[in-house]
Order: sequence, then C-alpha cells, then structure tokens
Amino acid sequence: MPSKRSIARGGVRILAGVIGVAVAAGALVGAALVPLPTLRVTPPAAKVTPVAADQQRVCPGGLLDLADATDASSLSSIGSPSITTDASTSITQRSLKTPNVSGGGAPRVIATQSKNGGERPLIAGAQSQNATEADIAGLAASSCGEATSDGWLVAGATTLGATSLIMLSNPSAVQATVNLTVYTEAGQAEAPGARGLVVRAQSQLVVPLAGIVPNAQASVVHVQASGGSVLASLQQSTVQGLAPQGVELVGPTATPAKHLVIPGMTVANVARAAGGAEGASSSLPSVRLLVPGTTEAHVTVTATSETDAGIVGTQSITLQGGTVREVTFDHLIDGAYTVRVASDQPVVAAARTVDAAATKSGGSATEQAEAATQDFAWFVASAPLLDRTLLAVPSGASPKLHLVNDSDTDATVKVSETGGSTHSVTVASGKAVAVTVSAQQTYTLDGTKGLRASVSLTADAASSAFALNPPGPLAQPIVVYPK
Amino acid sequence: MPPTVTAILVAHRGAEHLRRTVDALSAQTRPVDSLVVLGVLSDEATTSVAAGAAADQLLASNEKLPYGTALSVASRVVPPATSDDEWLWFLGQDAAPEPDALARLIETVAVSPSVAIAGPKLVDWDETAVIRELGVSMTRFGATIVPVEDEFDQAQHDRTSDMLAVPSAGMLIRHSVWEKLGGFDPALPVFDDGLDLCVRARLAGHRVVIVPAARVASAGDGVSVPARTPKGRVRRRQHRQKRAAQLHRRMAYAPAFALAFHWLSLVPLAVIRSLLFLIGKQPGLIGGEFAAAFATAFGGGHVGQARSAIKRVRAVKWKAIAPLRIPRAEVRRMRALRRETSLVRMHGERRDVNFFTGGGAWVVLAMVLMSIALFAPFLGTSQLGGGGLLPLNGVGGLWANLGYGWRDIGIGFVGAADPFTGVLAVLGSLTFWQPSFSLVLLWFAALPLSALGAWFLSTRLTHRPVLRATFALVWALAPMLFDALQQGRPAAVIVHVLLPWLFYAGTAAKRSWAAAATTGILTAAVLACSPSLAPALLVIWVIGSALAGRGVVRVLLVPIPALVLFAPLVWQQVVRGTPLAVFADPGVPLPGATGHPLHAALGFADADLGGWQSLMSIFGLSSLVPSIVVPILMAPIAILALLSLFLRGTIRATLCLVGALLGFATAILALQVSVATTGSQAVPLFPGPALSLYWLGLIAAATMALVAMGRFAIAPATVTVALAAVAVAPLAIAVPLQTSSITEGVANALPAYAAAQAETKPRLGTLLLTPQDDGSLAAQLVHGTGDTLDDQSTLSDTTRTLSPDEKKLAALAGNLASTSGLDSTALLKHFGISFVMLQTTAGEGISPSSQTQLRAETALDGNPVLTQVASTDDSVLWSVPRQKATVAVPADAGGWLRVGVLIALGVVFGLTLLLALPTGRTERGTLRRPTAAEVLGQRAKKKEPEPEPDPAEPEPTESEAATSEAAESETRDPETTDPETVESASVTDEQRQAVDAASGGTDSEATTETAPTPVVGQSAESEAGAEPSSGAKPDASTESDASTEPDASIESETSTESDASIESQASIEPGAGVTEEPDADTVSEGDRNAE
Repeated sequence: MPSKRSIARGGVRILAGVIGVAVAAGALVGAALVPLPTLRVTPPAAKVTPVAADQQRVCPGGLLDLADATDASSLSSIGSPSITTDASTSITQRSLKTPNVSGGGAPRVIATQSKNGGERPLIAGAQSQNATEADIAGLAASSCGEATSDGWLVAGATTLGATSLIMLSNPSAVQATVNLTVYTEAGQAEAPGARGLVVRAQSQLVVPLAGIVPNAQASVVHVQASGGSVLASLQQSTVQGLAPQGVELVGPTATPAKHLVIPGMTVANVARAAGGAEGASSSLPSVRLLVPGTTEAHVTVTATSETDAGIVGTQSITLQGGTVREVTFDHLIDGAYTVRVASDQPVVAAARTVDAAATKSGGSATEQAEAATQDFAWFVASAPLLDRTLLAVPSGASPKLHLVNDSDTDATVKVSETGGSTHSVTVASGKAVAVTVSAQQTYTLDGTKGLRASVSLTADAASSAFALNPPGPLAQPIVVYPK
Repeated sequence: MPPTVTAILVAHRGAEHLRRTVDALSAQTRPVDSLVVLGVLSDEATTSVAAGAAADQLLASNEKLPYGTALSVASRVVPPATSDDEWLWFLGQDAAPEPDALARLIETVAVSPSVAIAGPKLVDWDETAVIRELGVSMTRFGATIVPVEDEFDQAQHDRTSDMLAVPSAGMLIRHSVWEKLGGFDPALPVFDDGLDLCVRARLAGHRVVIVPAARVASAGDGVSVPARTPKGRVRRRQHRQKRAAQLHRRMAYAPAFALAFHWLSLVPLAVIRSLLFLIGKQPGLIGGEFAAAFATAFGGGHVGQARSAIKRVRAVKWKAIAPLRIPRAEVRRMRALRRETSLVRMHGERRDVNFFTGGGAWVVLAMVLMSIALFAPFLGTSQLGGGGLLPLNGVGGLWANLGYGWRDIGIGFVGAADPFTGVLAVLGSLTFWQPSFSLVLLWFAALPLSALGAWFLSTRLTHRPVLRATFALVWALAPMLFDALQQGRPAAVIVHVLLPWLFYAGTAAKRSWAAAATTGILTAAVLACSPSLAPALLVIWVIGSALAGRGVVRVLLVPIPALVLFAPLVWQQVVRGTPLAVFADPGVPLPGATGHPLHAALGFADADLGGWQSLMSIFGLSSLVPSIVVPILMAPIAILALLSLFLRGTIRATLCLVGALLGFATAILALQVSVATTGSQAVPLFPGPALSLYWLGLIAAATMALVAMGRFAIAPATVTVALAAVAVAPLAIAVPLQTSSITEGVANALPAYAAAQAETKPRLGTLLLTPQDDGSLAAQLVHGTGDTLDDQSTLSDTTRTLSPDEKKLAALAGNLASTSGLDSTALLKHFGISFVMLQTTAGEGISPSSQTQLRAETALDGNPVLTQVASTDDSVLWSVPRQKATVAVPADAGGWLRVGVLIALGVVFGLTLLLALPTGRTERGTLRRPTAAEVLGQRAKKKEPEPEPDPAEPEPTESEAATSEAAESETRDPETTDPETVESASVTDEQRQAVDAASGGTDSEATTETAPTPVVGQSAESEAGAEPSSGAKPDASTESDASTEPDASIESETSTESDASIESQASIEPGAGVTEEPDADTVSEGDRNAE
C-alpha cells in the first residue's frame, strides 16, 4: 500500500509534469504567434554625389549608305547632319575617326569642362539630317548622347528592303571591346561574330545588323562595352521596291525596368500610311518589347493621348523571355501619345510610327505606290530628368517638346529660349503636355525633376524623334556602405 | 629548597571548560603552591567559576589581551623570583592538566638544573588517547614544525624528551628565567609564542624539555592554543597570524647582514606563495599571506624589539640549537604523512568514469569515422573557406590581436578586441605552424569532441553505458551543430563543443576550486564565442549560486574571467551608446536568412529546416512535407523530455528543462535582434548557440526519463538516436551534396595578381567594392592578402555612424563607381590603395545590384588612374599603377590602455588557470585538523577486516551530481538514490579499495613506527653508555623498557644532536612508501620553494 509520502510525491510529479507540458506548449505558441519586438539596426551609409565631371556627348554622325547589305566595307557617308549644340560653359568639338566608312559626316564629340568642384555643367546637342537619296530618304534626328558601357537599341529589321546599321562611337581614350547580343522575334540570336568587337579609341565602328541576324523582322540589340564606353546608335532604313520608305537614327532606349514611359509618340497621317498598298499592320503605330533573360513577363502597354489624357489604347500580352514582340495600336488617330509599359519583369521597349506623304494624284496604283513616300520614326523610352535640363532642337519641321509627369505632384517647367523669351508650362500629375519649340534653337528647362521628355519632328514623310535623357546614370548619387 | 609552583590561569569566556580546568588544578597530586587567575573579558558565569577557584590572586582585564600578554600581566603580581626553584605554570581555561601532570613536570625539572622550561603532552580534551601536540620545533629555515600532531597515543613518543621548544599551553618555566627573558614576544600573540620563548631560553643557555608523561587536555578554545575549528574565516585568519609569526621570527632571528635581503623578499615571496596557494586550491589564504607580509615589512618596531631581546640574553651561538631543528628530509616525510592521512579522510572525491570500458571511446570513435566520411572532400586540405571561415593570422598576430589596440579591419581603428580573438588565439596556437589549419581540425573534430564532452557530462546523469552513449550521440548529431558546420560558423561550433564541458565542470564548481576556475574559463570561452548566451548563463549562474550553499564563494568566482575578458568591449560599447551591440556574434558577420520560431523549436537555426525543404523541392514534394516529417523525427526527444517531469527525478528534470527554456527563449529573441550590419544588410544574431543550450537541457531531461525507465529504456533510446540521425541527415551530407557554404581553400580571396604583391607588401591596400541588393555599393578596405578571422571586430560591425575616414572612403568609392570629376589620386594615396576590386557576383539578370555593378565597372574602366589587370567570374581587378604608398599600422596604437588590458587579462587568466590546474590534491582535507574521532577512527579501521565507507560523505549524492549546477538540491529527494543503487554500490566498492589502500599505508606507518623502537633504543643505549650520568634517572623505572628511554641519555647538547638524528633516521622508514606518491613531492617541493 502506498504511503502518504509516495502519494504526495506522485501528486507533485503529475503537477510538475502538467505544468511543464503547459509551459512547453505556451512557449511554442508564444514563439510562433506572439509578435515580439524586433531590433534592426540601420547600416551606416553615405550618399555620395559624384564630383562633377567634364561632360561630353557624341553625335552619331551622318547617315550611311550600304552598297552591299552584308559587306561592312562598302559603307559610305551620305553627308553630314546639321548639329545644334549648347552648353552652360564653353564647348569644344572634335570628330571621331571612321575607319570603315568612306566620305565625310564623321561623328562629332562635343565636350565641356567642369569648373573645379562646381555644379555639373550642362551640355546638349542634337543632329538631324534629311536624306533624299535614291535608297534612303526621310528625316533622321538624334540627340547627342553619352557613351556608356551598356545600352539597349530597340529598333531594326533585316528583312528584304530593310537595312540596319549599328554604329558604335567610342569617344574615350581607350579602346572598347563590345559584345552585341541580338534578340529577334525568334529569340536570342546565336552570333559569334557579334562578340568581342573592338572599337578603337576615338573612332566609330559600324556593324551591319544583317551580318549578325539576317532576315529578322524585329530586333533588339544589347550593347555591352568593356574598357572604353561607346554610344550605340542604330540606323534603320527601308526600301519598298525602288522607293525609299524612310530612315531613322535611333538612340539607346531606357534601361530595362518594370515601368517604362515613352513620351510623345506622334502619330501623323496614319490613315494615309495604313492605307498604303503594303499590309496595313506594318504601318500602324506599334510598340516593340523584349524581356531580357528567360523569364516570362506579363506586360500591359497603354497609349494615352497628350491632349485629353484619356487612355485610348491598351494591349496586354505575355512575353516570352528573350523573344521580341510587337504590339500594334490600330485605333489611334493622329496626335501625340504617351506610351506606358507596365510589366512584372524588367523590359525594354520603343514605339514606332509611320508617316506618309500625300500621294500624287493620277497614275496607276503601282506608280502611286512607288511614288508614295513614307518615313518612320522610333520613339524610345526615356529616363526621368534632373531639375535642370538643356535642350537642343535640331533642324526639322514643327519640333515639339513632350513632357510627361508621372509623379504625384504637378510640375511647373520654366522654358527659357537661349537669348530669347521665357515662359512656364505646367505639367499636371499623370499628364503630358507638348510644347512647341523652334528648330535649331536651344532652351534651358528648369523644374524638370522627375519628368520625362522627348522631342518630335513631324512633317509629311519626314518624321523623327529622340528622347531627352538626364546626364548619365553613372553620375547619379550613389549610396555607399564603407564598412 | 623544594620547588614552588605558581600556576597562572587565563580565562576568557567558557565556564564549562574553566570549571574542568579549575577542578583539574585542585586535583593535582602535587598541588600548586599558589594560583593566579586572570579573567580576560570574561562573562559572569566564567568569572564566578574563576572566583570559586580558590585563587590566591583573582585578576580581571577589560582589555582583550592575547594569552602571552595576559600571562605577562598576571606574572607581575607574583613576587619576583628569589631563587631558581620558583616555577611558573602557564595554563588557559582550555588546558586541563591530568592529576599527575604537575608532579611529572616537577620530577623532570628537579633532576636537571639546566632545564628552564618543561612542557607537557597536549592531548585531546575529550579523548586523551589522541595527542594533539607534543613539543614544537623549527625547520632549518625557521618554519614552525609540530613534530607530533593529531596522533593516536600508543606511547610511541613517550621516550621523547629533548625538543627545541614546547608550546605555551601548560608550559612550566623557571621564574627567574621568565623574568630574564622578559616574557613572550608581544609580536607573537597567537602562534609561535612558546617556540620563540624557548628559542630565547636555549640561546640564553638553558634547556627545554618535553615531558610526555605529563598530560594536559587541550580544548582548542583559542586561549592557550590557537582555536581548532574548520571554519574558513578562522582558518584564514589563523593563516595570516601564523605567517606573520613566521615572518616576524625570520626577521628577528636573521643575522644582521641578511636583514635587508629578507625584508626585500617579503612581498615577492608572498606573491610566489600566493601562486602556489592557487595551485593548491587554497585561494582564501592569499589575503592573509599579503597582510602578513606587509605587516611584517611595514609593521613598525616589533622586529627591533625582538632582536634586542635576543641580543640581551644570548649566551650561546645560534649554531648550538641547529641540531635541534628538524632536517629537511624529516620535514618532507612528516608533510607527506600528514597529507596521506588527510587523503584518507577525504576518500572518494574522485571517481573513475570508465571512459574506455564504459563505451565512451566507442562513441567518440564512431563520431571520428562519421566526421571523416562527411567531410571527406576536405581531407588533406590545409584551409577552409566560405561562410564565416577566413584564414587566421600567424601565431604572433593572433596573440597580438588580444585585448585592446589596433583593429585591422577596413580602415582600421583603435578599440577593444572581441573576446573571441582570445579563443582563436588558443585555437590557432594548437597548430602554431599554420594557424588556419586549426579550423580544418576543428571541423573534423567537432563531432567527436562534442560526443566526448557530452559523454563526460552524461556520467553525471547515469551510470548506464547505453544511456551515456545515447546522450553523447544525440548531442553530437544535433541539428544546430551541423547548421554551424555547414554555414561556416566557427564560434557556434566551439560553443557546441564546450557547452557539455561547461556544465560538467559547473556541477562540481561549488565543491572544488579547480572545477570553479575551470568553469570560469569555460564560461569566458563560451561567452566569447556567443555573447548572446550571457543572459541565459547569468540566470543559470544565479540559480546555481542560490543552491550552492557553503560553496557559494567558489560559484561566485565563475563569472570573473568572463567579466574581465568582456570589460574593455562592454565599456567601449556603452560609452558609444550601443550597449546591446555587446551581444553581436563575433567573427564574420553573416546575414543569412532567419528561420521561423517553430523551426528553432525543432533545433534548426536556418530558414531551410536543415536542408529538408530544398531536398523536398528536388523531389518535387510540397514544402509542407518537411513540416510534418521533421517534427515527427524530433518527437521522441520532446516526448521523453516532458515525460521526465512525470518520472523519478522531477526536480532535476525541471532544472534541465528550465535550462532548455532559457536556451529556447534566447534563440527566439536572437531571431528578432540584429545589432550588426554588413554592407547594406542588418545581420541578425545567430540562434545556433542558444539552440545548443536548448538542446542540452532537452536531451538531459530526456536522458533522465530514460534513466527512470530502467531496463525499458533501450528501445526508446535507440529510436531517439535513429530518428535524430535521420533528421540531421540532409544537413550532415551537405558537403558531399555541395549544398554547404564551406569550401576548400580561401573563399573570396584576392585575385592571384594582387595576392602575389600582397605577399611581399603586407600593408598593400585593396578597395573591395561589392554591389548590394538594393543598388547601393559596399566599399571595404582590405590590407595584405585579405581579411582574417581574428581581425574581425564587432565594434566595427555594430557601429551606427561613420568616422571621417569612413566618409572619405565612401566618397572615394562613390566617385570611383561614377563618372566623376574627382581626382582620386590623393584619396587613393591617403588610404594606400593599390588595387580596386569589384565583386561581379550580381549576375547577368536585371537587378539593382547588377545595374550598380555595371555602373561601377564602366566607371572604373573609364578611370584613367586605374588599369584593369584581371577579370574572373567573381571579380574584376584594377590596379593603381602609380600607387607606391601603403598605410602602416600606427606604432603606438592602443597606448597604455593596451598594456593595461593585456596585463589585466594575463593576471586574471593566469591566476584562474593556476587555480584550475589539476593538482590531484584534495582541497578540504589538507586544511582541516582531524577530529579526535577521526584520528581514532582511522586507527580503528585498519583493525577491521572490512571497513565501512565514511558515513560523513553521502556518496550517492556525489555520484548523482546533476547536469545543472543547481541540481544538488536533489539530495532532498530520497527517491533519487534508488535508480543509482547499483552505481553507488560500485562507487562504494571503489572507495573501499581506496580506503584499503590508504589504510594499508597507515598500517605500515603504524607498524614501522613501533617496530624500529629497539633500533632506536639500541643506538640510544649505546649513546647512553658513553654518558657518565646515564643511570641517574629517577623516571627510568616507570618505563617498561628503561633503555629505550632516550631522555636517559641526554645530558649534553651533543648527545641531543645525535639522538635527534637517530630519531629522524628511524622515522624516515615508514614514510618511504608514501613519498613515492608524486603529488606529495610536488607540493612539498612547492612549499619548500616558498620558504
């Protein structure tokens, strides 16, 4: 018979056990469910604003004519573009060497010195050229851009009648080794010849895209330079039969991002162009998209009219990684649009519109078609501007400055014509405005922080556009953890 | 004229003892002629007893007079000596003479006119068969020696007569000599008063004899003899008094030319002796040692008075008393003997754990094989990298990094080192030829070492080899250990290895100074590896202190090394305003993903549930599967741990589970806290070490449940081990699977181009730029061939602000990574940067970090100051061709603080290590005087065929010492003794053997001590034959063997000398068997050195 003592002991044990089990359960539940106070220290960081550097821009030079679509040695220049430049300090110009191009029209480097420790000097330049050759005709305008080590050219085609030249301008003092990665509608192209291209210091190398990807309808070129930096541009021209169907000199588009803005896509004479003999779709405004890498992306492209800010076109597609796709807007009327691309993966994009001249009356349909002159324009995505921007407008018809404000607050931009009048423009939040500017004139824009801008030149069969970009991302402030 | 005797009786408080003494006085067969009683601060009861003593003079003092002074005071009321036949007899209340004591004394002195002082045999108050003290003597160096002490009286000393001195208790002194000598030396209030007086008497040409036939019972009240008590406080005070007395006599007796030398040696000797006390595990005596040394050195004129007192009376040379001193060999023999007897009293302190026969060796061997199999790819490598593994500096650099000084991480700064550098210094010194190799060894040895420590800890839980093996295996197969191994966290690995040892030593800390000191060092090491364990260990320490009882002083020592080790760092962090940063994990800050609290409950410190989730995703199974499988695998441990509460040993199981709860709570909190940063990331505390503590408590409780299950424990134990092994399998095979972070060789090393230059230029600067996930840039300055593990500093990781130099470095890095107009030459020179390296591990994908990588690469490529020299998959390297400058470490970094911190660390850890040194000596036995029962008991035992184990030490408690320091309270649970009856029986058997062996020693001692008697007798006789006055001894007839009575032969100093030498020679023999004990020699050697 158990003694009182052992009964008491057993009782104590059971009590201890029950309490222990309860405490254990409590600890588990508490650890899993009770929100505990957390302590997270913030790493000490310094935001470094790089010291202002000398600024230089490269104007890609005159348009080139390629006698043989695949022979890079048969390039010749068809003249020099007109260049408009301005800078907040004195400006110097020099030409780059063009070893594999005959003729003039070499790329020009415009540069300005920074004042010691002062603010970054502003510099801007733009070029334009109206070609009227037998096989190249149309307006090609481009801004003078910064050489970088990484750029995306969203343009180009190498189908029959299309000529695309990649122009790599290296303004730096060291030679650059460039790798081109070309994406087409068939995916990433295997092109050994596009690797390790040497661009000598202070010179330009022109690479025909057809040598890399023959017969591609839509191409996107990723330009990566090591050593020196290059400005990559793409000259695309089209011939329909014997008639030139336009030319464009496209600069790099914005770096891959999940949200892209293409300001000022200008649609002109869309009915006329789409009504041409060729299939309508190729003449409709379209947006070319690429998701770098291998991941699938769901992309929504919207076009918003600048004038009434209503969304007039929305396209949603699923993009395969590494495959170029184009979406077409078939209900747009003439006017300027802001194209926004929203994606769940970083994408690159650019938009293209076709502008046609009025057909001559009379003659057969074939004559009309052959005589019909078209020009197309590429609108690339642009990056948010800094507070103060210098704008150079090249020669061309009815130049317009397009400003898009995607920030939460309205922006007021003071547009000062160099040696001329000043007026203010208000860009409401989420809206866009077009400002009429004068050709071959320069402007100082104040209050453009966060805005995106482009310049379009529009005339019958002579359209072109270029984006305004802030001074290179390489000069942006950067957060450094010096530990 | 017949001699007259005046007895002087000094009484303090203690009426009982006084009454017996007074009665004994009046019962003398030869009554005293007069009696003077002096009451010193006596209470009423004592005074009334004294008043009833029929004293001729009754004095009282309101001052606290020491015995010697009291006697001097009292002797003043005695009429001055008129003849040599007037005697004074000194007694205290605690010295009760036997009825014939005075008669025997008078008999002896009456026949020897040269005898001025005679002393009785002091026997135990209650047990007169126990000799407490028989005469006093000195070594050759002047140390006091009591030749016969605490012995069973078998008449073995009754022939002794000549003795250098006799104690003051019961001393009979010729009044005239007393007056001439001027009484006791007032500088010797407690110890050596009698010795000193006798030495002076001898120097004055008188003789001192011991009269063994006269017996005085001595109670040890602290009146006439120093108090005999085991109380530590009294013991420490007595040590001071004893040492002070010895030093005083040394100064008083020394020849004049040696005085200065002796004086200078006082404090150094105190230091040396203190160190020896540490080794001897008697740290309590150190204070007294220094107090005595300083009191003697600066104590004023006592030495001068004593020297002049000697000079005044000295008639013979010092050489004359030299033969009476005890020779060195004899001293050594006596000490060895005394230690031996005390060891016998202390039997059973150490137990054999049967590591080899108990299966421990097999467990460790199994873990060695498993470790080799799991880390086979690293066989033959000399260095590991990846995770938190970095190379170590050379041995010199490792030790130079200790304490306070230049922290060579990044730009570098002056500050306190992480305590972890100390652990690394010790670790790296193991493979001093290549310290980094020690980390490879650690990785291979982690499993077996963990099992080894756990096995030893398990001996405190159970005696069953199966359960010990279970405990060791489950500890070695712990998920948090594999987490630490595969993530490359050396600190957490070390914690897991050390934690069982910490508790193994900790449970013994209250009983042993060595264990306490070891616990202190292990605590410091564990906290150095994982400061986040500090709160949990603090709680455990508080509980342990509360339950330590009388051993609390030892337990209080435990945190001291850790406190000293952490003091500089804590101080700097507190001054900086970031006190919580003290808890930051040392070593390389590894961000890592933090696990879910419930994963932590399963023991896994990472977010991947020990590799189970990745494994399941490989097989395409849902991530829910591991969430179900792993808890099932861990369930047996949890069930057993909770079950232990319901079974026998509830209290100990509770304590274990409290430990587990503390570990779990620490781990959960650690998941919430990040105090360190690396680059743009906050680094959370690693919960691994806390989970180790959790695991330890859990499996200790589980083992207790298994113990309580008795023979039904085999199956659950097997299942537990098997399932735990399966649970950690994905983590364990991470190296063969190549999912481990650790790699052969150095990870993130500089490219060969820079490394080659850094070999020759150790201060070569490299700026390491690492793009961060958020698009920012981390910039780090690296010197030489790269960072080392011991250069890491939590002070640097946990800083919340940037120093001016760091801001400069940020500006440089930011501009280098940008298109910039900055002329970076000046800054590159300022930091001595020869190379700029950009980590290009961000990958091809589009991400903020790859954008930053691109930006930096472009800018660096375009920078005319830099030239790209190498490019690998992981990095691109630019050199600064025109850079010649390097930045040297400031020569005086740290200044006096560095020296001070190093000295403080050295002193504290040196002393703790000395205290922790295993000397094989027991601690209490050598200090305590044996009780009469013990003296008799030992004698009695050897006569019994089967001696009983000492009941004073309840062995089951010892054998059941618990895992937690607090577990001692378990002795109150009577049932806990039940499961271990087998063990306690076996232990008792061991003890019996030990007792047998020891009592065998005492046996031989006893027999040899009696056996050589005829030899002594013969030689004494032969001596006696040469003496003319040999037949004139009246007391010769009282002894059965008159010829063996050495006293008979002694008339002159020369004969005394020969006698003494014979005596000592004879007594060497019994000690011969004992002195072979190596420890006995070591300690006595030490003592001698100290003198």
